[in-house]
Amino acid sequence: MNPTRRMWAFFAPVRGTLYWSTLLSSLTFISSIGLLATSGWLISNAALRPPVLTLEVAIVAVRTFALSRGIARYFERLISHNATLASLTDIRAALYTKLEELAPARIGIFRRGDMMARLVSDVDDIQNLPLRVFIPIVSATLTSIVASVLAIVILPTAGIILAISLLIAGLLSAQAAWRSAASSEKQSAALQGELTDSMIEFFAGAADLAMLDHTQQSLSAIKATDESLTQASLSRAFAQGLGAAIITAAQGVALVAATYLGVAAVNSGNLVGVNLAVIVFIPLAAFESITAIPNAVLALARVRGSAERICEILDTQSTSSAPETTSAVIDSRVQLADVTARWPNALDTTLSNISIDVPHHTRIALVGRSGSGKSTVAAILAKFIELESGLYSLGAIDTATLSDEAVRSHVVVSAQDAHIFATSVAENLKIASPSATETIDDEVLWNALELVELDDVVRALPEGLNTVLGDRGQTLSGGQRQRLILARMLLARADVWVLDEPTEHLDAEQADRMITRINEATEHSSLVLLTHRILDTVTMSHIYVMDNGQIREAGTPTQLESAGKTYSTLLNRERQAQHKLG
Amino acid sequence: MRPLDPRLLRHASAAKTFMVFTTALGIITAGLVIVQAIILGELLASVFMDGKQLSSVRGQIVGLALIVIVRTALSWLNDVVATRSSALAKNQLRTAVMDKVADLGPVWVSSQRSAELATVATRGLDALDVYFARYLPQLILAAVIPLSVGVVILTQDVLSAVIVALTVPLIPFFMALIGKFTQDKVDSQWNTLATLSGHFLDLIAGLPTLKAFNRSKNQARAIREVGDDYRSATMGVLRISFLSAFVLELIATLSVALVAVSIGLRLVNGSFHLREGLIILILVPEAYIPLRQLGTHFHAVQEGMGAAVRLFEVLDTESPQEVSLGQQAPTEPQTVNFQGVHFTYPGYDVEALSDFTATFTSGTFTAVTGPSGAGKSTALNVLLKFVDPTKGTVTVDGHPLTELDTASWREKISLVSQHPWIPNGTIREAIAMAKPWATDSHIAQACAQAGLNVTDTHEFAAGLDTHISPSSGVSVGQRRRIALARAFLRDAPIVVLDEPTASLDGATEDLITQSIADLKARGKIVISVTHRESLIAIADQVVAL
Repeated sequence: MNPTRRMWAFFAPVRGTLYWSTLLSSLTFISSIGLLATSGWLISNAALRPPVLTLEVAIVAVRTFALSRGIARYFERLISHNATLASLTDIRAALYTKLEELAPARIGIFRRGDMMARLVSDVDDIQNLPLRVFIPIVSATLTSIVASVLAIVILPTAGIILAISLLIAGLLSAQAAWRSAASSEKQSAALQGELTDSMIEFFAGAADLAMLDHTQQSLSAIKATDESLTQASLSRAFAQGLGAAIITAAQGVALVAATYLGVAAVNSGNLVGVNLAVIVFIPLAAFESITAIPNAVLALARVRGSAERICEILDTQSTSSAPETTSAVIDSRVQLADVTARWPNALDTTLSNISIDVPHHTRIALVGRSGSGKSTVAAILAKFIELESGLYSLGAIDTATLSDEAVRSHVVVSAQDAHIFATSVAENLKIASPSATETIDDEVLWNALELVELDDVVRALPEGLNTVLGDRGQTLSGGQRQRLILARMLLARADVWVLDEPTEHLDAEQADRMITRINEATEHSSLVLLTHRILDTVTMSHIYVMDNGQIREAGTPTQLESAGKTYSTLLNRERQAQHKLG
Repeated sequence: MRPLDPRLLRHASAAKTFMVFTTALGIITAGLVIVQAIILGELLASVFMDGKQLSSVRGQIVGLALIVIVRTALSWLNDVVATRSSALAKNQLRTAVMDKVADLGPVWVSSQRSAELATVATRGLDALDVYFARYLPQLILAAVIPLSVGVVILTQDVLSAVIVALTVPLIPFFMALIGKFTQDKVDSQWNTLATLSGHFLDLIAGLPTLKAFNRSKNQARAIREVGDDYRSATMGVLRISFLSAFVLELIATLSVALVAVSIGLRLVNGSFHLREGLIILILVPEAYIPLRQLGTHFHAVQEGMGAAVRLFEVLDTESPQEVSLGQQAPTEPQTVNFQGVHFTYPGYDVEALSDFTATFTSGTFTAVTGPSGAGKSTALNVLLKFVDPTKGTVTVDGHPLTELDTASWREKISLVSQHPWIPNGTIREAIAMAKPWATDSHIAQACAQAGLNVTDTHEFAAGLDTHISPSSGVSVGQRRRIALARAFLRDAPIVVLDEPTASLDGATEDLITQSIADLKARGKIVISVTHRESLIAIADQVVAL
């Protein structure tokens, strides 16, 4: 089934309502035709000076049509919007459910903020499918049929020409709009993308360009791209107005034909004189509904693109169904044995033959620079990615036989790029509570904030714990975000904690204090600390040094320090730097 | 909001030309509408009442056909000219904005969200198409047609003219009234719409985090709940705004009915002629159409102008004064000395850099450290002459920096920024920017020093001729290595590195550390802003801010 049809299927529960909306929309247009036609008949008849009583029906009809147009339109818009908004929520929920299955490894979207934003606006765009595509096109068709039938009853020849004119106007204007959308997509989309990219580069590289005395050259290159884009639009202009012009022309043809044929029919006695104005006035009002068609076609073109992107996600294969059996995990020992794994479709380092052992209630560290593969280990421990080979066991049970949820209820992973939600500080912290129903006292939250030295910062916020944080936690600095993520982590209940770079963005002294707090807080459980900073790891019981997806060194801190390899070199360098900084 | 922003006319001359054109077109259109109504009214009345034959009204039918042809041509012409004017205006605005940005300089740019600005200047401006093609012509028609049609009706029948004169102004009046009444509500509703999408986006972005805490399953229900809340809130507002549209619709249709019935009744008692009646009946609906259409395009105006207004803000920012040419910088500066330097950005109360004193000498590597916000970037901006200190002095071998010619000073510096600029071209072009007359062997040597292995066909398919472009996924590591190669090629006496190892893998970090040692050995003044221990460890001097 094509993507647009699949999106349309989401509107199935409200389809009845949408049909009613379409009828009401047609009634709106028909009222206009009725108003003008009955008015014409009324004054033509009145000119013959009959008794006023014989005009009573026409007068009532004129007034009725004047009222029904507005009323029909009001209710059409009300019920169609209500139904559409309801279905949009269904699409969002369905998409979320699918994304929840896929997150984060099965799909690239979680690596690109702009792709996510685009997906969200794609969903918003689907509301145009009923509102700006279906209802206008179907009601224009119904209106045209009614107008043509009415005209045929009065004067068949004029009616048939009206029908043909309406048909041609609708089809040709739709085709013109479709072609102009396609050609603009073909000619300009790439150029426009190029222009946007080079402008972003120009802004981002402003300092570089000034230093290289290259600002003007770079500017002229961008202007040249802009010029090609402008030329492409200019050359397309002649096709641009065809849709509207076709409708004007078709209406004109129908009007002139109705006048000519009407006059001839009155002359020959085939048409009563009072109906002459009626047959001429119908084309004047009948084309109103057709004018919406070019826009409907353009909206359809956009909806199609959005629908394709949404369906692409809905069609992504999710992981082979995870086992639901939850064997009791008694021991919290975590072991990776000879594990090879990587993020699907990603450039990240592939882990090869990694073996890590975290016995019950021990603290170990994984050390390595960015890109060494530490975060991939965290993703494995969270069961975000599947193993290509090897074994991940928890309390001697192969995690492949455990549900993802069961593993995560024991092993809690705080990723380096953990999300801060655009909600209150309190809500952000409460996500860590083991169940949605369990409440956490404010006092507990304050304690956690105090541990990470964030209590003063939160107290200074306008509404304290209830202050809503901005988009992506932007009201906090990098270091503050890091500590909020840490506070949230400390509120969770876990047998094994996995912390990815908890001291990034912190200065040396604060980093040392945080490591002490983390050690204290995780005293009665296991800790896996992933860090690039060697000084964080000196109190750990075992250390693995990673590089390029492999473990290069392993041992206790004292063993590694005396081994004189990477670990000791880096440690000495850090101590030297600390010494320089005093 | 104003119907027509004068800044658009000021900054885009194409808009000015278009206004003249569309006004002319509007006046012609109004004339055609009136002539068509008169021809039709006369023709219908004479055939019906006076029994005129087809042969005697042939001229009028031909006239009608001519009007149809002209109106079709005008409709097409309007769209063609509107599309062209819109394209030109967009081009003019973009060009002006880019020139302005070049004028305002890197410090101003760094205060902007540049990706957003670029998107506004390209895709954002596309909304101007509808603004030109639909809104502006309707705006002119709304001014021309009700008035001219009203005058014609007045010449035919005073009563009908009074009905039109009383009801037409009600439309903008009600629009304004209802607009004022609902604007706040609608605004807050738009916020909810944004919030709803925002909520959805936030959940998706946070899915990995929710999953890590086993909290991702029950959120689909939250989406439904928030969606339903939103729907009822939105429908409340939509009811009001649809009701306002209903009132406007009613004013237009009821006045047509009113005119028709009053003419009908006067025709019956013989105080009126059919010809005038028909003309008026055809003209009355025309008086309301442009104003009602204007209302439906209002949304397009907001969208189209939103992007343009953002650009006007940029264009109306005051440019810094160009400093007159000063003294040439020393060819081989030996020491750069900051003495009690302070800097405050315009419009800010807090000093970005306060009392900074440091000396940088040739053949040494200085690491500048400090927490974010301490003034590291500001110190660099002062050094690069992007800003002048508000207090204190910087001297180069004893000459005050403020008195040195900016271009000649910048020639003495190689900058390796965090996200180095690369052109849309070959690797050779990207590196030769530093020294356009450099030979291939020089370039190759610089590449080797920067660890840019251009002969590795795995990484660079065509060696120095490999095409690179900002959009083709050049990694941060590659960019920095290109910038380092530029620095080696340029061979300037001062090398400034801004967080050169941030978000780099270990190998590239090692390479940059090695390059710094090389540069130092060649007697350069090497300065790096950094918080990485690996760089601090090799520094000869650490300046903490």
